[in-house]
Amino acid sequence: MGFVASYAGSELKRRKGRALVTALGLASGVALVLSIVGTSAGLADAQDRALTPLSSVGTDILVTRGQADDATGTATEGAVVETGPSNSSSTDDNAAPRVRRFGPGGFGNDADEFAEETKAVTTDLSKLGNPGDKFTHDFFVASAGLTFDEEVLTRLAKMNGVEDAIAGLTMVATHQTGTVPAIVAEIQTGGETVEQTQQIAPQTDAERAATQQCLQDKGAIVNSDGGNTEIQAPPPDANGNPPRVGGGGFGQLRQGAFEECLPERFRQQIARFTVPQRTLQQALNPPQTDITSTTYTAGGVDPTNPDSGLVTASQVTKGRFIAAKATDEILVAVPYASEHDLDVGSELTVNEKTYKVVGLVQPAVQGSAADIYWSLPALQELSSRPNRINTVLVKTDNAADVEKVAAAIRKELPDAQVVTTESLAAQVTGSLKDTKKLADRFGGVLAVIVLGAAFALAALLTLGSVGKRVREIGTLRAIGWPRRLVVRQILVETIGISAIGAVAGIALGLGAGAAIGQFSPTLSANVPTVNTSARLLASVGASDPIAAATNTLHLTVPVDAATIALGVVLALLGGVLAGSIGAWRASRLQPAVALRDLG
Amino acid sequence: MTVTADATARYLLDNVSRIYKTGGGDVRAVDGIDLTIAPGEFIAIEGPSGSGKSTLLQLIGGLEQASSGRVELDGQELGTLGDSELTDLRNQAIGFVFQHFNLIPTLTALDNVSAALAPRGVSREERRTRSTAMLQRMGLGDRVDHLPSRLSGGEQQRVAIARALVNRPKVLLADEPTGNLDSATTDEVVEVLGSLTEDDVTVVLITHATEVAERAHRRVSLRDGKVASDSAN
Repeated sequence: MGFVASYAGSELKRRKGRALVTALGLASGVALVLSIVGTSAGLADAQDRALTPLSSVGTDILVTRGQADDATGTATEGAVVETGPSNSSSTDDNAAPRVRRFGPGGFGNDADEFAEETKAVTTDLSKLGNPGDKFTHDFFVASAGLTFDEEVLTRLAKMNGVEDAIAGLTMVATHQTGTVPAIVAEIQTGGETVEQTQQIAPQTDAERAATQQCLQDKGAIVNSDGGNTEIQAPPPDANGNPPRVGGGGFGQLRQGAFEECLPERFRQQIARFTVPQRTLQQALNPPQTDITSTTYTAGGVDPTNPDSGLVTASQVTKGRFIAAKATDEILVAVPYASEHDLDVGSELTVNEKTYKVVGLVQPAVQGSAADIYWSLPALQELSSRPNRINTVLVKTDNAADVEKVAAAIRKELPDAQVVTTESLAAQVTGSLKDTKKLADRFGGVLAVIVLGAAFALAALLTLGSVGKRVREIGTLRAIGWPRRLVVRQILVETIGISAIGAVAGIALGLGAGAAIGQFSPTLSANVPTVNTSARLLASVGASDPIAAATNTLHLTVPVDAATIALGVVLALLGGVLAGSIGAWRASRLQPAVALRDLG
Repeated sequence: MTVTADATARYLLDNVSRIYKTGGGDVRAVDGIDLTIAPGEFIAIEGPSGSGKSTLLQLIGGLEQASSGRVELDGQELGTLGDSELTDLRNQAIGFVFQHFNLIPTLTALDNVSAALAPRGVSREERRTRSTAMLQRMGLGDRVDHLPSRLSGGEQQRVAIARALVNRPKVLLADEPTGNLDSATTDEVVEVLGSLTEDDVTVVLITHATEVAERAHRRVSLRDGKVASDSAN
């Protein structure tokens, strides 16, 4: 050990008080800064958990096909419907209220599509068996009504700036068990002959003229005089035979000739039809007490892309992700698994097909959470929605291009809801956001002030120490210590003190962090969530692509190696700074002071 | 008067002055002193307070630079040396002993002596060996690990002398080394200082005490910054 280090050790050991005061000053600063940094990181962490549901699914943009905004029929043709949170003050394009214009046909198309989408859903329980039979059936409905054809995926994947596009399908499933209702009415309809009599309006002048012309063509003599018309039969021919024109009231005209000359509406006025006969069977007033229903949400993921999708491999807490080609494997969300006593290895039968639970997942706090995840083809088959998807998760080549790509997607798919991570984050309100804003705004300033104060304290104490050691330092200079050695001595001493400060500061900081974690203040965040959250949609029936959900989060103060390293660096920095000031002062002392009587 | 160069002189002071500028005008602490000191000489400098004794010691110790005149140590003019050269010179050729001992209170006797070796980059072992030997020579072999606060005044001064001698200097400059000692201890210290001349060490001692000055080879008396008398004992 060099003399300087040994000397510094003796100084710290025998001048404990001064060393401890300096070290504690630095430690307090470091601890406060670590607490601020940790709290800020905790807030950022909480914000990440609450605000970036898309990030948890490894994507930048979420494209969903939800039900038309005006599916309730409140919008009129050509109307402008504004949606989006009213409290948004962001200037972000995405955060601004979205405007959807319904041109002619817009409403009708969505309504037709919705009817088409839901036609596969079985609503007639009598189809599940004979009356009295026990049944168990899961009914699947796309979470937001409408779906895309899978070809959309290819279109999006080919767009500029898109790195990857992953398909997803979210469904609301209703699991029902019960007895096929016995009350089935048999109704025979049809077979009746319907006769209808109508009062016909008189002929118009044009029709009358046409009739007269027709009769004349058939040989009748028509005399029109003012408002009266006289029709005479034609004269007999050379052999004395009557003309072959018609019959009826005119005798000499051929039979039916007059009716032929009447306008079409007179000839067809009497319609007679017979309703075809058929028999309808329908359950009437099904006995609800016998049927139990539970709902859950189903997600379809692409097992060949375990890193992106409604749920990702990183969210698997036990077991594994669905194998690439497996159609009989499922993942179950931890809360659902615990509620229904499921675990890895459990089997679940849905609509007479058995699926094996291969993994438990902990999905994001909000966003694309489902209870059970199938492989996409399996869910499509199960829900009778072949080749249909309702979510596309888009990853962009460059984070800076997200908004540009989102705009291009909106243009490409005008009926889709396109949401970016940023647009969700911009719409968050609540105490979390306020605290984060406060931390962002003042945390840094506070940290700088605290650190500045700690450094100033350390520097002052070091200067004070040097001041008290004038004779000692003068003596060292007198006996031949060069300035650089004096500087090194003071620096080593203060760095030693700062090392103690670092350890104490980190301990204090960790303690403060643990105390905050123990106290666990709650923060709320009104977080926008996207339509893929089937659960949310199931519960509120929302059709808006962005709905709000309030999350309550507990603040934790994460301390990692980087934070500890920061504490060490800050303390040493403080030591070096204080030591440099002290050393500068010491190096300027003249050796002659050693000879002066300083009392 | 101009002093001619003497090849055998340890110190040569030629018309040396040190002027301090103060608000009340210039103060000539040392005023035109000429002096020659031989190797192995034990010289006592006397004079009342303010006569320039300490300033003279600082000038010949390389702690201060003369305002005018020339100070030579073994032919080396100190006025031409920079701060780092003077520092080296003080470490290698000059030993200092102070009235208040100026030991470092947090270091043991051994480490106080070793402090003088620190700038020379000697190994820890060598530092320990040389320092211990020097303390033993001062009769402090059983006090090496004691802090200054646990040593008597005489012992502390002997530690200071050990520190001054550990680099085997050519000159030992002592500023009132017995000023804080009782008479018995003063005798011990003067005895030690006197014995150094046997090794050709030049000892320059500032003192108020006549009985101490009487034990030197030569006495120089200062008054108002000038040499009032210079005589051999």
